[in-house]
Amino acid sequence: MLINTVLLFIGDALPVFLLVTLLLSVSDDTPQHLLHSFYSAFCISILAIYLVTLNLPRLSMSFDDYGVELLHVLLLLLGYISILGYSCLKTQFRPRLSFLTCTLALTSYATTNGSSLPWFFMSHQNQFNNLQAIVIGSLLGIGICLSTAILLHLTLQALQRSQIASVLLCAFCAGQSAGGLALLQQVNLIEESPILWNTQPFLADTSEIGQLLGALIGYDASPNLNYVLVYIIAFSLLWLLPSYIQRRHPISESSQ
Amino acid sequence: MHKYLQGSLLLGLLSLVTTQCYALPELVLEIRDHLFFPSQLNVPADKKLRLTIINHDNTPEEFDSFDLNREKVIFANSQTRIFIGPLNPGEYAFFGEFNPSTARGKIIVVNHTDDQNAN
Repeated sequence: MLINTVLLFIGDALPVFLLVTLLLSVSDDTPQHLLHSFYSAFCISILAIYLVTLNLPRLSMSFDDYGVELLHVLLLLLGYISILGYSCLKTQFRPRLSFLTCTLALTSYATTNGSSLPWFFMSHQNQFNNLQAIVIGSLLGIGICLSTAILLHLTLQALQRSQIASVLLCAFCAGQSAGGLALLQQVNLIEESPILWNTQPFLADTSEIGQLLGALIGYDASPNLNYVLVYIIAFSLLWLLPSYIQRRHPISESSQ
Repeated sequence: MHKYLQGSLLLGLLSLVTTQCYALPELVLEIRDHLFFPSQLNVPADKKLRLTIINHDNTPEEFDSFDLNREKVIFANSQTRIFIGPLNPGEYAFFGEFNPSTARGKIIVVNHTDDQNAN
């Protein structure tokens, strides 16, 4: 039970911790501005996760049993668009819009990743034998997520290359978006496509590094054609559009 | 009027998808006392299948499979369905994420010539 709780925390919470780190690394904003976004996103996410958790059983039966998948895909799309907006706006010095897009992105990804976690706790709430293991597992899980995020932040700071953080942010969002495709395939709204390669024997999805890379850059040991296509499109758009906008609308000295 | 048209189109699309879904072969997987029944499912290769998961327990469970790339919460005393395949021959493990020590199973995909015993 202890290990299971830790693994669940790593699977569900690590992507959000990594996103916070990447946003800190790519942002030109002052840390205070970003902290306001993080606090707001934290409060709204708690409320959103609570509301989604309460309505999840009803939602799972709606839209011909596709309700949960559709909600998750919509949230992933909202998260992606918000990050795209944030990346385009961060060079234009529009603090209010930057705050809004940053908060929205964090809230969307946190709600998508964290909405099944409360059900795990609820499923074991009457088993007092497991209570201690769940509490310790949760603390360990948060500790691992936090230390991984800090380690990534320090590594990116030591490298002093914001380009690496930008590439990682694009890969993170591309991975999350491509992950949404599996949800649509799960409910048969999109057809399965052929698997392009299989690196399972070298680096399995279930291994520690595989899970970390899965959360950070959307690593999939055996991706299919649709996954790779969505990944490339989402990555390219997030990488190219902000630089295109910056070139079309260069910031004048006075606006700085 | 425009909204009614949009609604009708969406309903039509959903009906089309639903009709296609119900035409697919179905597999049934049950959860009792945090165990999957049957724990091993034989299915034919290169066929799309509808997997109905019925949870008889009073607690929720999450069907999870890295091999199949599927993840779905099944609430207490309820059922859900997901779609799998077409799959290549081989073994595809799945587990209950909320009770992984007990709820475990696998889907064995066999070639058409060997699928006499497939469900």
